Amino acid sequence: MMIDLMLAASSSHPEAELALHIDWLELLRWCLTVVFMGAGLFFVLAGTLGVLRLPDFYTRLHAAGMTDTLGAELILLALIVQSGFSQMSLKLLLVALFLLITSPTATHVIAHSAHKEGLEPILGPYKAPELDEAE
Amino acid sequence: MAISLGYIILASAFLLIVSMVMMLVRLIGGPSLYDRLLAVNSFGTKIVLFLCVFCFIIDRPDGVDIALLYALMNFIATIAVLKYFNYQALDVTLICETADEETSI
Amino acid sequence: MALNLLQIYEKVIVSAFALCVCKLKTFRKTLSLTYNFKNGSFLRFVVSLTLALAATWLMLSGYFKPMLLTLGVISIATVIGLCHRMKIIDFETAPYQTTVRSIRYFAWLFIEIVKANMQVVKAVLNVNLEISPTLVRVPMPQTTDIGRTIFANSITLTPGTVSVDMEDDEILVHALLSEMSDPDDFKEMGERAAWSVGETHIPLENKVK
Repeated sequence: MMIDLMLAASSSHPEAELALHIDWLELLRWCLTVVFMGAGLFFVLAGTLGVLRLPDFYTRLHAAGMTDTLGAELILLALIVQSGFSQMSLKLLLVALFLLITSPTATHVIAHSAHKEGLEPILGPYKAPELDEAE
Repeated sequence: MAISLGYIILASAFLLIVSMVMMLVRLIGGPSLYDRLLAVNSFGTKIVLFLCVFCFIIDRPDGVDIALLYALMNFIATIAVLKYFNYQALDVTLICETADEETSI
Repeated sequence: MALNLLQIYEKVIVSAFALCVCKLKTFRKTLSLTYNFKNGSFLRFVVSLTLALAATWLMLSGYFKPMLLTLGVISIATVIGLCHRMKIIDFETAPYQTTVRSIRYFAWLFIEIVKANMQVVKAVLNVNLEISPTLVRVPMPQTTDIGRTIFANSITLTPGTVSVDMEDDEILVHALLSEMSDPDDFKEMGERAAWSVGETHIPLENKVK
């Protein structure tokens, strides 16, 4: 494909120049999609790892919140950039807005319920136990 | 260009499934009820993302509606389960007229 | 067929609107006792809510056939009627005055979310997992319910801080790192949240720093 484009660019047809311009826009869109999708997946995986690693229920909430906000929004942003301006991108925007409203409410409700039930949080500085001590 | 983008979206769907499986560990082995609820909620968010990505793979924009509906059901299910565990019933009015008797989840 | 339906549709809209306006003129005196008119009239709230619902319907359906549009009008009328019966058509349902402010607030909040995400990712992916969870009480400067809701939700939306409990004028906040429980950050966020729902009208550039 690239070879074709180079050939088209070398022969000085006006259509070929037009094709080259359109390709730059596509390239920009492709790069944005890859960057947003990669960053979003990084945040989602880091949040999941945090939920597995952190010692306490209240601290796990923060890791889950990280997944819910930036991870989800960046993945949806990548899909919006990829789909261009269409009905699908508007719907994806609605999904993003909805997640932005409901996820903190659900997190707050779970945290409040645990607090009322009397689940005590770990407070003060905390370090991961050494592997030798754990085994 | 188009082919490589398809691979990227497939890879992202695969990584989302991997993170869902990791979340299942917390869901099964969570020490308390609230850990499990948190895992279910986070799992639901990942399912919504996976549905959106899946609509791109099969190239049908109708599926985003299902994702929207799933996000809504996920939120309501979390609140309903918490309400049931707090009051052992679902038909409890949460907002009272007087400020003293005001209860919330 | 389509033309006939469109004509019927137009008549229904015009008559319903006329009915609304006539009824409202008589009802407004009694309504003003129960409704909270915050810088706007009841009809404006109805119109802005209708526009928002219509935009949502068109976005989700995407068809412009007469029958589906009729169904949309019926659903919107049902929703408006239900909201009217529940007496929730007020500033909280359709805050059209503060749209620009809300957008500016969310732009600011998004930058804060990105910053906080970086800190939390660093803490979580650290090998030694050096965290210091703290519980802080944060005063709430807001006076209205919607302002308080936006403030508490913003705290929860920022990773690293979760609002656990709400008492009279204070929020109990659980923070993942002790440097995240700085009262000045919460103060700035609270003032911006109050500004975004129109509780304070002083420009933020003068108030914050």
